[in-house]
Formats: sequence, C-alpha cells, structure tokens
Amino acid sequence: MKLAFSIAKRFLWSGKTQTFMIILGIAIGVSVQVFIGSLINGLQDDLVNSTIGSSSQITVTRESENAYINNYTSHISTLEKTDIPFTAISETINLNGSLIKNDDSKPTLLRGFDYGKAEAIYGFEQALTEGSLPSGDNEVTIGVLLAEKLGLGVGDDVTFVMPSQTNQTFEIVGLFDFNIQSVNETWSLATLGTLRMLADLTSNQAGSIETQISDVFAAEEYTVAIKNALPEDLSVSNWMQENAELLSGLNGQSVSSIMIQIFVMVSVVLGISSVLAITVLQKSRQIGILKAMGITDKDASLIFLSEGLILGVIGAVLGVLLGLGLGLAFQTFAVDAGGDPVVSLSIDPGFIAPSATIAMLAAIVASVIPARKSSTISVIEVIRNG
Amino acid sequence: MSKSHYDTFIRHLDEEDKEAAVRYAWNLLDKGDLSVEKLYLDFIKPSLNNFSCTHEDKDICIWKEHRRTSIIRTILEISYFFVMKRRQNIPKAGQSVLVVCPEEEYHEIGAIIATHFFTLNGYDASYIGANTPKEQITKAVQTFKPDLLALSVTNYYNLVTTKKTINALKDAYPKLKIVIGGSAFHSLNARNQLDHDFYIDDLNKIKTILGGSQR
Amino acid sequence: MAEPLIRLKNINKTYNPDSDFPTKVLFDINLDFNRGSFSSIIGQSGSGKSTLLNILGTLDRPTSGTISINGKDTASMSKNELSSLRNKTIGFIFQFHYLLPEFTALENVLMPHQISKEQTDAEAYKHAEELLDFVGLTKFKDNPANEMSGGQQQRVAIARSLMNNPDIILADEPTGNLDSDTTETIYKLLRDVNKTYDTTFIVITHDRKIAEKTDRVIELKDGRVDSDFTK
Repeated sequence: MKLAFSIAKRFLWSGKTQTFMIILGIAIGVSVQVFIGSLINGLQDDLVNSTIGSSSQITVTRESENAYINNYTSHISTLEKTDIPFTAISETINLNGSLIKNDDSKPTLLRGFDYGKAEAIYGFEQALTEGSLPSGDNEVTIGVLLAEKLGLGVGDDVTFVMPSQTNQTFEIVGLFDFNIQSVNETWSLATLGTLRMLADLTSNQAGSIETQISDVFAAEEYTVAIKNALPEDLSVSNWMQENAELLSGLNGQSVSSIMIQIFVMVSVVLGISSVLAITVLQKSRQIGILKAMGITDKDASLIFLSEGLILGVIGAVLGVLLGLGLGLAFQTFAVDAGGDPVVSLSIDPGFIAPSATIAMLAAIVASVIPARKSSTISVIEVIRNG
Repeated sequence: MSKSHYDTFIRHLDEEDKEAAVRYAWNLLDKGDLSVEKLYLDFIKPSLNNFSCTHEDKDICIWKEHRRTSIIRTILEISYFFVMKRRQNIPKAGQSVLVVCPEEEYHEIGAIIATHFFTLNGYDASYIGANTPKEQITKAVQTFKPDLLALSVTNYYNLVTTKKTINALKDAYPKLKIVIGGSAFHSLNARNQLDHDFYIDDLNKIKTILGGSQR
Repeated sequence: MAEPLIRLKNINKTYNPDSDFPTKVLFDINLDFNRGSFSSIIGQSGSGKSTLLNILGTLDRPTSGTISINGKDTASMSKNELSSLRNKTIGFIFQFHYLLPEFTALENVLMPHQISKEQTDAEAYKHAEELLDFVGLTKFKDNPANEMSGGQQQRVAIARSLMNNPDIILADEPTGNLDSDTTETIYKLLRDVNKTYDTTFIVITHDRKIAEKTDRVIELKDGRVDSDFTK
C-alpha cells in the first residue's frame, strides 16, 4: 500500500499540468455544489422566514367556531411539558370589526396579545414605526396603511365598531409596519385585557394559543403530538396546511438542488475516470516495467486507487474552500440598495461535509475502472511495443 | 632442430624485427636444419599460441598480436618456395582439396598452413581465403569440383555459419567430403552438430585421410 | 552433474491457438542452463527468441511443455508466486532500458527491493548505492532517470536488475541501441556481474561482438533450436 501510494504520488507529480487540471475539475465541481447548495438553502431559509417567520406556526383553537378556550393557562403548561422545541407560546384573542373615523370606515382585525410572550413570534418592537405598543385599556396600535387610509396618526382617537356591540373609542398610541400589505391594512393591536372586556371573557379564557417551533418543517408531526396532549375539543392547525403552495415550491427547489448536485457529481466522476483511464494508458509502460520487476496485480491496481484518493481529497478540500470563497464574494458584492445581501447563504457543515465526502468517494470509485484495467496490462505487450 | 633455434626465432618476433625473423627462418629451411612441417608446428604454432601480452592496455596487445601475425604471414609466404621444391618429389595423391575460412572468420594462418600440409601430402590443394561467404564457397566448389573441402575455424561463434555452410554444401554436393579443423572444434558437442567427414586436430593426421579412416 | 538452474522441456508456443490463424512460434524447445553460465540467443527477427526469453522470464506461459527454475515447475505457480519469483530470482534488462522516468536513478535501483515489501532500511540503500557505484554512476544517483544518456540508463537498469541478488539475468538486446564503445562497456559490466555474483546470464543479441564473447551460442531458426554451440 505504501509503495503504491508513493508511486501514485510520483506519477501525479510527474504530470503536474494534468494533475492540476483534474484537481481543478473536481474542485470546481465541489465548489459549484457547495455554492449552489448554500444558495438554495439560503433562499429557502429566507422564503420560509419571510412567510412564516412572523406568524404562528402551530395554532391551538376551539373545535367549534367563535368559541373560546377555557382554562388556557393549564393547556400552555401542558404544552411546555412536552418535548416539542417551542421557541414561543402565546395566547391571543381576535375580534373582527371596523375602525371608524368621521364618515370613513375600514374593516379591521383587532388582536389582543400578551406582548411580552408574543414578541418572540411577531417582533412587534421592530415593526413599530412610531409610538409604542398598547399597554392600557382603550389603547390601540394600528398598521401604517390602515392609519393612512383613515388619515389618522398617533394621539388621535378612533372608534372600534362590532356588529351588535357597543362602540368603543381607542386612542392610537403607535403605528406598525410588518412589510406585509394585508397586515398593515387590517391589523389593530390592543391589550389582552381590552379584548377580554370587549368579548366579555374571563381572565382564564383565550381565543387561541399561538406557537413557534425551532424546526418548522416538523410542524406536521408536532401537530399530532399536540393533539394527543390536549383535550379533544381543541383543534390544532399548522402553517404547512395553510401554505401548501409554498411547500411544493420549496420541495421543487430541493429537488432541483439535488438534481444539480447529482449532475455535477456525475460529471466529476466521468471526468476523473476518463482522465485516469488515459493515465493508465500513459503509464502502461511503467506498469509493465513494475510487473516485470514483480509487482503484484493488486499493488498495481492500488496505484490508481491511490491516485483517485489523492485527487479526490485535494479536489474536495480545494472545492469546499473555493465554494465558500464564492459564497463570501456573492454575499459581499451581490447586495441590495440597503447593503444587505440579496440572498443570505446558509453555510451548513452538515451539508458541505457530505458533499466533500461524496466527491472523494466519487474520485475513488472513478479510479476503480482504470485500476482494474491496469491488472490486464501485459508486460510482453509493453516490451513489444516499447 | 634445437631449443636454441626456437628461442632465437621467438626473440626476433618479440623484438618485432621482421627482417631478422624472416631471414632466420629462411636460413633454417635453406640449410635443411628444419623441415617446413616442423617450422609450422613447432615454431609458428607455439609462437602464436603462446603469445602473451603483459601490457595493461588491452588495445596495445591487440595490435602487437596483429604485428606478429603479419611477420608470420611473410614467413609462410617464403616457406611456400620450399613446399614447391619438395612437391616435385612427392607422389600425387590424385585428390583435390579446397581450404577456406567461412564468413567472418579472419584467422587464416591455420588454413594456410593446412593448405601447405595438404600439398606436402600430394594433394592438389588450393587456399581460397579468409571470411568467405557460403555462396562464394559453393561457387568455388562448383568451379573446382574438389574431392575435399577443408574448413578452418578459430572463433567458436563462427560455428553457426560453419554449420549453415556445411549444410548448404552437403545439400548441393552430397559426395563432397568435409574436413574440419581449428580451435573452434575442440568441443565434441560442436563437432557432433556438424555434418563432417574428417576432423583434423593434428595436421600430421592429414595423411590418414587418404586411408579413408573417417572422423 | 548438478541440476540445471533452468530447464526447458518440450516448450511449444502458439499465439491465438483458438483463432482461425494460430501462429506457432516455438517448436519443442529443450534447453538447460547451468548456474553461472553466460549464454547468448541469436536468430533473425521472428525466430522466436523474444518469445523464448519471455517464457524464460515467466512473463509468458508456454502452450505446452515445462519450465523449471531451481528445480521448481513454474506451471503450478500462481500469478502472485510468479510475481514473487520474478522479483527475487530474475532480473530483466531490456533494449529500451525501461527505467521509471518519474524516479531518480537510485530510486529505480531500489524499486525491486521495495516491491518485495521488505523494509527499505539503510542496508538496502547501501546496497543500491554500491550497485550504482559498481556500474560507475554514483555521481548520478539523484538524477531523474529520463535525464540520463542511453548508456547511463542501461547501466542503471543493470544495477536495478541486480538489486535483489537474482540467480538469473535475462537481457533482450541489452546493447541494441547503444554505440559500440558503450556496448563494450556494458558487456564488460555484464561479464563482471557474471563472475562476481555467479549470476546466470541469458542474452538475446544480434551483435556478434557480444555473442562471440559469451560461453554458449544458441541459434533459433523458425522457432527451433538450429544450433547450440558451447565454447
């Protein structure tokens, strides 16, 4: 093995240009994989984050419509006792109605939160463009578009109207912008207390329990677990049920990413094996000499496997570095007007390491054919054609 | 003949004094102190066989050997005068012989001596030459139609061509008797591979050929 | 008399025996080679001498007949056993040197030792350097093989063939493409090896200057031993 390896090293070193080209080929293949893979992962992360990053991923409600969850605090503690990796659990109460100013009326979804808990889901602090979040009764913070349409600002009063309910006047204490048009146009935020008062609820009742989890793609299986943990009259829904199109889009991306990687790998394998096949021809004279000197067929084959290993390892390492370099360049130079990267790459060692390993294995597999071919080289042919 | 004659002769050769050596040999033959046969076998043969060169440089030895050979050749030529003189008194054997060295064989002293021996034994003997290709030998046999063909070979490597020559001659002239002689034939293994009729390891045995005792 | 080192018995060789045009190149070859002998094989091209040498070197197998080396029949040996036999018992010298151009002179000489898988210790290096000294190339030991003259390369090849102290050296036109001075040097070297190590030599040559100096000349003609003369 040691002999085969040292001969392999010398063979590769003697054809520096050729060796460099193969390594470059592998490296480029691996770097494309690393780069494209990181880019697509980054795109997916961005997409998922912008779609469901600021909303409830698993939501618990009452089975029947317009009904409220009783005793919600005990349900929350039940949820906290499960081993589901929640990153946020928060109760909320929603009421549909309209905001009226003078003769203008706009539909709104009045939402009540415990802002300390819900901050983790919605990031209210960051969305605030003016003023503050509601902290007392009759205080409301509304979307920037809603405020614009009604011609309202912080400090103004506004009337909240619900069918068959008494009107309630709120003071606008702040404006928010979630970068989502429908939310900015329709949401109004108040305290849980305000909502309870309007809906006539006790302090142990809530409209729904909203959660976020660290592994968003496991939402379906957590949903089942949550259903089993809570009473039957509660219903559990998740983002995946509500975003089937997004999911299939993400799937499509993943599949195309895998396809790209497979094709890159196939071309790397074909490249290495064809170059190594040529190497066997180029080195058949040397193999013949070595066989005349008594090298075994196995050791002769090992020379080419070693070449594959050396090429694979160096190519993969270089490829990973090159791929990361490409990513860094992309993030540095492909930026939007605000200076943020257009797409933030996802540098995942759990993805890069397998890519590099597969490239190394591919290089070794690619050298099997030439290695086998080497054992068929006959000394006599070599001498005769010498 | 005495040992002192030989020593004197060798001294002239060692000194590479051609004139002295040739004159000395002539005088010995002329005075009848030495027969042609004895000159050949007891003087010339050992002078060549025992030639030893102590020189460091082998190349010097080679030209010295060639120089000695050239002196010997002249002595052989002048000795033919005495062969001719004696031939008149020798009864004809009624047989002819061609003596030749095959292709690549350049050592011809033995062949020339053998030719003179054949002549002194009453043969109609002709020496063709050194380094004679197979085809030329065949042509010569075709022209002269000799009873015997004598091949003289010194370098054992030339046995390869000798064999081819003999086979060609035996094919073309089945009745031709082949005589072989020379240091290349010392090994029995060599002689066994050659289709010959007589082997001469001692020139005095030439007279036995007429008696027909083969090999 | 002692057993010959190599014994060829009724060797026949046919190329493509199963095809429509089988080519028979060797016919009933019977030859013995004694230890320490120095033989040459001559013959026109196509006479089968290279095939015979390849069979002697276990690089090729005869169609029928047996080759025994050191009294052991090679027909019963596996591929790996033959590799080992070549490595330890036989040294090859070819017309076209066949050095590994990627390696230095010294590394080439060491190669048979490394193939034998024994540890390449200081002793092996010393032996390789002695051999390079023996062929007069100590000064060139670290030169890449492909940067040496033809004669130098051939001398390296001779040193290499001696590395594992083989019993037999097979040489196919060892001076085939060398000038006459170099030819003389190489021949003297081979003779020196023959006398110093009692190595058995079998040399294919068309150079009569070499052949006439060997102890035995075997001529092959049309695949048969035509003559076999010993000095």
